[in-house]
Amino acid sequence: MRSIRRFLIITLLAIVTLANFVAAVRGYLGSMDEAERLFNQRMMQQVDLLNYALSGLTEQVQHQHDILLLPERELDKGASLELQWVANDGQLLARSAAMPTTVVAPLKAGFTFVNFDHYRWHLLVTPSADNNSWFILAERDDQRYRLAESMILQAVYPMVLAIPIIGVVIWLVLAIGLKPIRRLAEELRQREATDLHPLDQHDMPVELAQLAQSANDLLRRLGASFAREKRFSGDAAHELRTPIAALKIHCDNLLQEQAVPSDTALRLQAGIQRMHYLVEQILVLNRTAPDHFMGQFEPVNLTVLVKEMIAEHSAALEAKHHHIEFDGDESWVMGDRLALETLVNNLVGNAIKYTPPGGRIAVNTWLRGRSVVLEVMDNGPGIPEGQHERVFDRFYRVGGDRHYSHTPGCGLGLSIVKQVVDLHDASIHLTPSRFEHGLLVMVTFAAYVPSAQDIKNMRSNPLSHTHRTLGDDTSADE
Amino acid sequence: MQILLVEDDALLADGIMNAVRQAGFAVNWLSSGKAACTYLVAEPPDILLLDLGLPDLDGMEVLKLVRQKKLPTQVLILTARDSTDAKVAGLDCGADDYLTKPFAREELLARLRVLERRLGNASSAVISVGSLNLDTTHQQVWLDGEPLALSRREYMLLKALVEHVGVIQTKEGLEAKLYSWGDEVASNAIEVHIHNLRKKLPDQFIRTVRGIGYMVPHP
Repeated sequence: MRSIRRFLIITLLAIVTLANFVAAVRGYLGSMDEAERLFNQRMMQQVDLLNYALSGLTEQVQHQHDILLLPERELDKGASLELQWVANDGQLLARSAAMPTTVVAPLKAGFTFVNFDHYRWHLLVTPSADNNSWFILAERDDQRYRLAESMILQAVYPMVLAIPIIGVVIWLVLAIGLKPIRRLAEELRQREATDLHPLDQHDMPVELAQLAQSANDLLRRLGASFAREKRFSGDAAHELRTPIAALKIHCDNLLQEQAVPSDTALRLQAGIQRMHYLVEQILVLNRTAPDHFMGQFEPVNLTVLVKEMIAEHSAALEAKHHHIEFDGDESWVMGDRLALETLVNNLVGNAIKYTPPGGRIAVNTWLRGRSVVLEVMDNGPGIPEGQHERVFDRFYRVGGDRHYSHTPGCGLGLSIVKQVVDLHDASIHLTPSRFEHGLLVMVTFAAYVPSAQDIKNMRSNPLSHTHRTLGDDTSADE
Repeated sequence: MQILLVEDDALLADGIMNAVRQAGFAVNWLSSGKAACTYLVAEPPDILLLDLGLPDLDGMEVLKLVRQKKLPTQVLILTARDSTDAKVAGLDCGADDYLTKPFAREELLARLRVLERRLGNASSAVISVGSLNLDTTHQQVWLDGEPLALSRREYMLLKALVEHVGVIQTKEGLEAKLYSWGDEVASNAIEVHIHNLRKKLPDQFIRTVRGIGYMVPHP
């Protein structure tokens, strides 16, 4: 993945290094020229000194037979300056120890290069002030070069050393400079999918404020379209429920008017029932979808809720002569009441629907340590093991549309159950029933320990025994 | 018994009126909230069947008017809004009952009968299940024409069961109906009362649903 920080660090370091390198090369070359000039100047000063020291001595020295030998001085560093003193006729008057006994260059004034003694030498050949003799000053080129270079490198080293230090500094500065971006990213990452509050633009650098402004515009548009969609679900509910209610009551009236209900009227009733069921299930699916969920979590006495939901199915249980039993510990969970009712309703409704008449159904809520296990078990046909995963898919029906029980349904019931399970961070598990055959559905929630206030609230809840939820009258007519 | 239906959907209103008339009630229909407000004040009906989603005025406003003017009208709300919040808001505003669309004809009629009883109409104060008659006005019970001596709690328990024939009543629900919050309720209080009731009633009149509660099945 591309990283602004990495890009900036690499680019800046490359630029700094390159600039340093160019500066160093330029400095090196410039300094070398300068050093050359300095060394040459030194030679010329030496000549002045020699003129001063040796003026008038030429005659005297010329009559001696021996060549004057200047002692050799060991230098640990730098370039040693060597000398030959030559009479106008080419006779060597004096030399330093490192110089050969022959004159190393023609007597022609000026700077020149000469090779001898395995080295390359810088020479300054110049006549003495009285024009009686010549001075030849020599410096080894390699020594000169090494001295100049070591001096220049002393100056260039810090530049090289500075590069990693500059790198670290750039890294730190970028870290500080890019902090607002990281903070913004973190804030966006930690948001819930449903949180569409605008970003806080306070304290934000200009560059990011623009981005945040655009993001806020986007969030606002998104929020508006969410609100529209939510309104649409509400409107759709109203728009669909009213005509279904009209159909339903006319159909009920028709059945009432007929002394013996006709097949056609009964089929009409079943069709309306099915349409009602489908519409309700789609609405519930929409309402419990994680992105739309607007419910509120509160402590819920699952045991009482389960019993109420079973009571809501009284008519259907009676019609199919099922034997239903409840047993279990009083169990509380943190959850959305409406969503939990839908969950229990769909599970109990399925058990009633798919179990042949005269069947057995057992519902339990067990406290298992820190978990609450809701069990709904029947002795119906069950679901083949291989289809356990698929039953949670939307519109999937066991055995396809030609279900042996001819039970109307839309294949959304268990998708809704799964959605509610996910909403509560619970888990769902299908296994064979403990009866001789059939299905056992286990939903495991985190247990909630109720406070005295919760228990009191439950007793005074005016709706706990009156409200009706999805599925009661639907299953009643099957 | 005068019923006023306020519902903007003509097809549904037509169906409701047919059902209600077949059941022996007199019913008038208005499709607008403003018209309903005028009519209500001039001629308060016994029961108001009120749709909340009216085009000109929110049904809640009509409901508030009924309660402000202290009209002697029982209000049954009919609505497609089914959230708990909407129900609580409706009941808090003074609705007597709440029915979510779509509803079954029998459910609508049953709720109307309950409201009628609350209005103190003597003719419908008697609940009959088979050979048992329960007079809610005089709090008396007859079995095969013979009066039955019941304690106050036994009577309340029997009433709670026969008011909802064919519907399981949970033990917790019955306890809430029989006792106030402060009362000490023995864990087997309901069982004891049921046991005593059964001695006075025919076999299988009250059915036990294990672990859940009790039910008086359809005769």
